[in-house]
Amino acid sequence: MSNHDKDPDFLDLLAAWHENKTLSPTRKKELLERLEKDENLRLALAREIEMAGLTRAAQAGEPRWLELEEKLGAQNETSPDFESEVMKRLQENLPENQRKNIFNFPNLAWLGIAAALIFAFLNLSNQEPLEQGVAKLIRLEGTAKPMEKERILRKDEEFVIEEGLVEMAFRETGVHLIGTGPLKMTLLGNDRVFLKEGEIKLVVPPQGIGFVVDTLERKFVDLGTSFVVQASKEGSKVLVLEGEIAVGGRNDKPSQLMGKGSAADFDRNGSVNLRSRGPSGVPELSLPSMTHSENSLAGKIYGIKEGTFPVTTEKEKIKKRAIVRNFIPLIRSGFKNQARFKNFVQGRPLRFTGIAGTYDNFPLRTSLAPYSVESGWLAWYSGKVKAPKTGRYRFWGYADNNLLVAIDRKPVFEGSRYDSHFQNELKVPRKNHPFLPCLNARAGFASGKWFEVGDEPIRIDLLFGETSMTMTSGLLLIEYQKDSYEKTYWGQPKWPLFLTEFPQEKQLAELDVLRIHMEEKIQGSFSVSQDSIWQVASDS
Amino acid sequence: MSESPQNFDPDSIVEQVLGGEKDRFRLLVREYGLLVRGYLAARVYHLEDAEDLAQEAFLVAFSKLSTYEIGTNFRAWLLSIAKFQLNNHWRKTSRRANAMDRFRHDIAEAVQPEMQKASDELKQENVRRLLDCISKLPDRTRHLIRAGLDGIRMESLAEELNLKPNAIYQLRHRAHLTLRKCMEQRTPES
Repeated sequence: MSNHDKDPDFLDLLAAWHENKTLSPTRKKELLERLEKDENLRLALAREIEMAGLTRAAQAGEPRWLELEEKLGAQNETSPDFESEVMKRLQENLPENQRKNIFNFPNLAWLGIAAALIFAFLNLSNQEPLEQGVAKLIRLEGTAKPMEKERILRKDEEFVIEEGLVEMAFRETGVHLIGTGPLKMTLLGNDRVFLKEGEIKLVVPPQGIGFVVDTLERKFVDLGTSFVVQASKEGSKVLVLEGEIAVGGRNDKPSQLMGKGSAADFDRNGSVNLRSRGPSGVPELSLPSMTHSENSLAGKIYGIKEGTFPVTTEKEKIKKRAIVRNFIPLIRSGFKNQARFKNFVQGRPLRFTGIAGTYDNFPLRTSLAPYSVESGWLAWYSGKVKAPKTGRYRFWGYADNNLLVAIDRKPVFEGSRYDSHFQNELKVPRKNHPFLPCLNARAGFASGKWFEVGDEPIRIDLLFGETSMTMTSGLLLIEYQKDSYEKTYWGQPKWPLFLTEFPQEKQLAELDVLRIHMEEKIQGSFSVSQDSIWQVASDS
Repeated sequence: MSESPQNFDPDSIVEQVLGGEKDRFRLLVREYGLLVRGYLAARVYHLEDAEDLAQEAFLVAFSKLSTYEIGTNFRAWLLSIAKFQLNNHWRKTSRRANAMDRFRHDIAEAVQPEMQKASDELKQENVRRLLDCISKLPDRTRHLIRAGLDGIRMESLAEELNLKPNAIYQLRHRAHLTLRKCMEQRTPES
């Protein structure tokens, strides 16, 4: 790590360089004097500026240099082997270690953009005649057939693979398509495919908006997004990863908009089933048995009585009505003041099984109904626990929206989203770690302060929930100071989930699915360890 | 002639372009496009200006290709043209520069040799890997490094991420170091 990243002069120079930060004449003079004297600072600044420029250009998309194109002439002046050389280079530009993450959706999106950029650059504005094809095959893996020599896909061509994976880029629209076999589809044009069977994922750049995927049941029109379509004999399915799509019927039925996280099934009889709505398609764990034992940490889920407030669409009003706000006096009073609980409704008693993954259906599953969905929900677990080992611990994690842990009635960790009441009103000391990936990028990884635990049981209060509506996710991990942990690609130690009971077999399997999902799609992770289970004290 | 990224031979392409196959110049544009655009984007405040200057640099390179001495360093030659375009741009815009623009000028002048060094350090094969390395960044970090492109000002981003504005520069700096490391680490595999 650079020794300049905490240097205020360095940071001020960057702010002045990148954003014209206003500085006083004295400060400017100081900075220039320092620059003059300090060669290391000059080099660090130069390297930073150089990298910033490069990343800025790389992410900006390819420019269309019409004047240059005019100078270079029409594409048909290209030498005969230009195309094959270009394709060869494209192949070589995709290193092996890029391939191993092929089903990593966030990365896929970037791969898509990268491919689109490379593609756009190659084309320099559609100079190749249309008859040369509508799309280029970038990659074909795991298929029985060897890679085709002619990697141009033509209009109305039926593309079929029995197995494996295909990656292609559409010539004019820059749309990037990844499909898995068995796959049967027809390329109807530069902006349209008919998917008969198989699964395709599309990343659509701005110039590709309006790209259409037809299936027998529906027409999916992209509105600037990334989405997955699957077609089979039973019907078709769609999952929107980013942005929005319009779903139309085959018989010009009115379109329906679907946003990020939406998934739907369409069967051959025309029925529609909206399957889930999550921040990133993250698996939601099933609810384990809520039957209490003396080893379980008990909790309750709360909502606000339905009809307590008149209906409104004003965001600020909705925010003020959030149930989480009503917990502030409770926390401030050391978990004693329950005066605001009179307007609450409760669901089934809870048994703590960790905080991991999405909780979109949690209120429903814990029978919190009827309640004001608009005002969100909050689960409060409380009891006495004994640490697996004596020593210093700290919590890590995040929640979209609210997560707070108190030890002996004092908050030691707050891992809520940046706009949550917990974060903005309680001001619990927290360290933010923007580098660490979250299930929902807006959540924000945080760590709490270290706290010392002895042999005696300690009281724990754990609050987790949603500010409004139902899209909730979170992760709560615990670090023991004396332990060392395996690290992820991005250097995040795989801290164990904070648990008070070792998961049952089914839950363990589901946690494993979640962990794999996180490792593949966001390059985050966690562990589950028998050695890090906190025992609930019998008098809890 | 081999034109795999590892064995890209600009000289043979230059010879072909000079021999009449002017369309081959596109290969040079593709190979060095990001480098030139990045070089200019690092030094010019508005990205659109950087893109225009990059096109001008390639136009000049195309028209003056016969002056390039085969066997020397094409990349350096191309960057020298970009630098010339940049100086012209600065000269034209300096008349209407405000105090902060002038301060940026002063900074640029103070670090000019180091900027040259930093630019030389960026090996062409590493530049090619940049997008792949960016794709490996966590969502929030990508958001952080492309915030300016999306029109998000640092103050807004700082508020969204619950950080002080300087912390954003700090994190971006770390992200760039990570990217640089990623680009360099993978050199032996290429």
